[in-house]
Amino acid sequence: MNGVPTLHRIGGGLVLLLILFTPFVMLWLGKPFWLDIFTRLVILAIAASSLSLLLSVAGLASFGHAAYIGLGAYAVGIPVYYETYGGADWLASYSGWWHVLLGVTVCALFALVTGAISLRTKGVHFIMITMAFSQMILYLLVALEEFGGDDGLSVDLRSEFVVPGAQVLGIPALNMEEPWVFYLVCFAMLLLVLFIVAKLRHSHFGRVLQAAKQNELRVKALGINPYRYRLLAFVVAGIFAGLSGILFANYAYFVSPSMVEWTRSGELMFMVILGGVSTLFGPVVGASVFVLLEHFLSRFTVFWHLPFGILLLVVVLFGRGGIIGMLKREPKT
Amino acid sequence: MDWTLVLTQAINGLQLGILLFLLSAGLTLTFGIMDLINLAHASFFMLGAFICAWATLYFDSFVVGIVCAILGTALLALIVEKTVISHLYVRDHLDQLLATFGLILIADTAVHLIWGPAGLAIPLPSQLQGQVRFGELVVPTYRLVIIGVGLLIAATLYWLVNKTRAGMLIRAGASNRQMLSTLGINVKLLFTSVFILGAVLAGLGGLLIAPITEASIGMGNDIIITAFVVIIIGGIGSIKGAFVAALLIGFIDTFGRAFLDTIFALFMSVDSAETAAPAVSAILVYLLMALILVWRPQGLFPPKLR
Amino acid sequence: MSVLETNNLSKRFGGVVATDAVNLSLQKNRVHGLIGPNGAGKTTLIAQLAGQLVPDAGRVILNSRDITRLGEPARVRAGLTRTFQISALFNDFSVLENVAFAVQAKAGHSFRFWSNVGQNKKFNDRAHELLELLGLSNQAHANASALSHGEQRQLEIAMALATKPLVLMLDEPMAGMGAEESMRLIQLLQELKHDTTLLLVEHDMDAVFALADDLSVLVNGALIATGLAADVRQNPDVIAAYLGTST
Repeated sequence: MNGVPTLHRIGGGLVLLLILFTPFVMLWLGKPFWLDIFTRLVILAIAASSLSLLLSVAGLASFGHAAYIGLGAYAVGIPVYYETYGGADWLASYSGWWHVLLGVTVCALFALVTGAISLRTKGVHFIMITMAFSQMILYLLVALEEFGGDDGLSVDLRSEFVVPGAQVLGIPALNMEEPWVFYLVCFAMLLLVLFIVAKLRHSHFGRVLQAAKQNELRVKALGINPYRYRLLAFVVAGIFAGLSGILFANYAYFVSPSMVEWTRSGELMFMVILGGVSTLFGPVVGASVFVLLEHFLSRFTVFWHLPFGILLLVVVLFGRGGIIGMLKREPKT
Repeated sequence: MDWTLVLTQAINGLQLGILLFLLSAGLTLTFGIMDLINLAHASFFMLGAFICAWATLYFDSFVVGIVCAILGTALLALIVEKTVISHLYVRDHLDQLLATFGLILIADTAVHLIWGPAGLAIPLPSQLQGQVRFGELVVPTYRLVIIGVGLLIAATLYWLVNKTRAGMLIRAGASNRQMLSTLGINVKLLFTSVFILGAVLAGLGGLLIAPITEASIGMGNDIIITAFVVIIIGGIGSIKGAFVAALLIGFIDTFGRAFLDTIFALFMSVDSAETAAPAVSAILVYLLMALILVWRPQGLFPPKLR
Repeated sequence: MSVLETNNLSKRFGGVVATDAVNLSLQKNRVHGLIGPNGAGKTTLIAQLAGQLVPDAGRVILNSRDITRLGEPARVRAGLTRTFQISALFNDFSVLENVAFAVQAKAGHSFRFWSNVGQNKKFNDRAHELLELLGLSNQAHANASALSHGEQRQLEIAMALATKPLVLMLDEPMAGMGAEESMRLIQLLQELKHDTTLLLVEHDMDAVFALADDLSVLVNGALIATGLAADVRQNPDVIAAYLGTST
């Protein structure tokens, strides 16, 4: 265990603690809206972390990650809609367990099929194909008139997570409608996703991905075909992004096709690059900077996309390694 | 089957295909020659439309509007190429994509700042407003103009790439970049020219469609992805592939939206056909892309020697 | 006994014949040298043996098993491993991690998600053994990209050995090595043939003559001579076509 990873871990822990407590401090200072901003921040950090499994660990630049957020979100929106307004009894439910089951299944299947096709290609083909498949989901959602088409659906109630038998034991059910409870649920999900990504990164599986990222030819010459490993990573990342979509639908009480626009995928990609690839906490830092900047800039001007675009240019052209990379300047060991 | 309707839709499909070709020709050229993937292509599509709309209104002439739009996009393309794009040629595709995404954000906001949040309509001169009759078939004159201009540009491009010295350099550059510099070609100049050519083609696409849809912020951001699908299907880097795939997609998309419910109704109830058809026709193009990729991962006409 | 053989292996690129009905046969526990002038098609031949290129006609047989249709990774698992002419390493990994990953590749599938692979004792021990063998032990924790050219070539061989090949194909292993490094590598390869069978493509004729038990000469994609090294060296065609001009 050398010094740099340990430092990085401490830094990452501090960032997480800061994220966890800031909204509560602000609540105490009489600024409750920060809870709302930080909930969004944590949800986007989950999505960015899932993307970093593909981008940083496996070196796969998927530019269609927003599709999974949309699929996850509609896995909440559609059952809740039917439960509220009637119809499709087999689908209708307020149960969060059902939403998660549905969202995870749909995202996994979509990732499996589109991944199987797009992973046969490389480089710019891969980028463009993942982009095109996510655009397909966008148009599909727009075409579904029953679920509001372009306008989307409002989600009247948040997912209910009832643990069978918990009431008997005297444990109160999670009240997701309570903002800080919901916030803690999101934060716990972020921790879980980060933990799993960290585990995968250092596992046998993760090492195959990292090796194939550096030199695919060599991996094959050692007797491993990276395709199935990459496909699995693609599916896992899709599932995690789907989870963030489930949370997002609950957060916004609303789902719409605009969640799937490719510019959303671009923003996620920006968060990962902004925070710095090749670190576990980079996407969290990137998502935080992104959400906070967006908040301050949009209060300051309606033209907040302008400084954002310039920042994006500057980071790509000059800031290799992102924020963490600039802070760390890791000495070559 | 109502054949007038089929013909009308065929003309619509042709028009969409031509538009897609104008957009994808530049994309596939810049990729083939400079190995550059440029999202901001969508912005030139939009800028062509806005500049044309503004100049048409200001000078009260559509022709002046077109000239201004061509010169304007060319100038902007020159500036963008010198300041940003030229630094991206040596970068990986992800960097190129993100940086040009940044350019889109900047362009969209700039247009918002200059022309406001609402769109700009382009008034057509009266000669172009009429309709042309072919027996039962009635076609708006302007649609025929779009198709005619598009085909003319396609033919010019074909001549330029296949029959001229510049085209020979372009093809040589696409297959072997080192060769260009050993031949003593000014690579920088060639790259800049090709980038401007691509941008102008995109701008032309934008200004041609704007009288129908009007110029609006972000108008290129969705169609650029369809243009990506075109060049994926056609084979990235191939002009011929872009042309074939653009027409293919134009027809399939248009016919899908127009007739899929009728076709579905042949083997399912009218109700379910009317529910299923819009959803399937919305993703038809992408299903086609997936099928072609399974069959040929490099597209229909992959450029040789790559 | 023949471990690896080809039957009429042929490959054309457009009008150019790159491999012309090659019948190659490698005997167990021997070093087989493959020489030929530049552009003779040695690398193309290796690529077909390794499964990176599909031959137009002919068969590749490993240990009496037809592997012509197998993909590259499957061939490696079957026991046919190659090294690359230009070192192909994992530059972000340490030297130890490079070899440990090669050991991992041999150890079976890697759909294991929980344990930390960097702390896998079995992989690391075996990797250390191989580094010891190649004389790279003191560099174990250096970044692979920080190695000298010669050391990178040695690491390349260590990784190939980790796959426990029946047949190891070495594509110009001495290229760019100093005299001393070459000497050590020759010694090592001499010992290796007790455990495996070697196909050696090499420009350094001293190394080839020092090592090769058998020798094949490839000119314009065709084998003009093959057999015991001593015999092939005396073959008048070979002297005329190749050895005569280069020495």
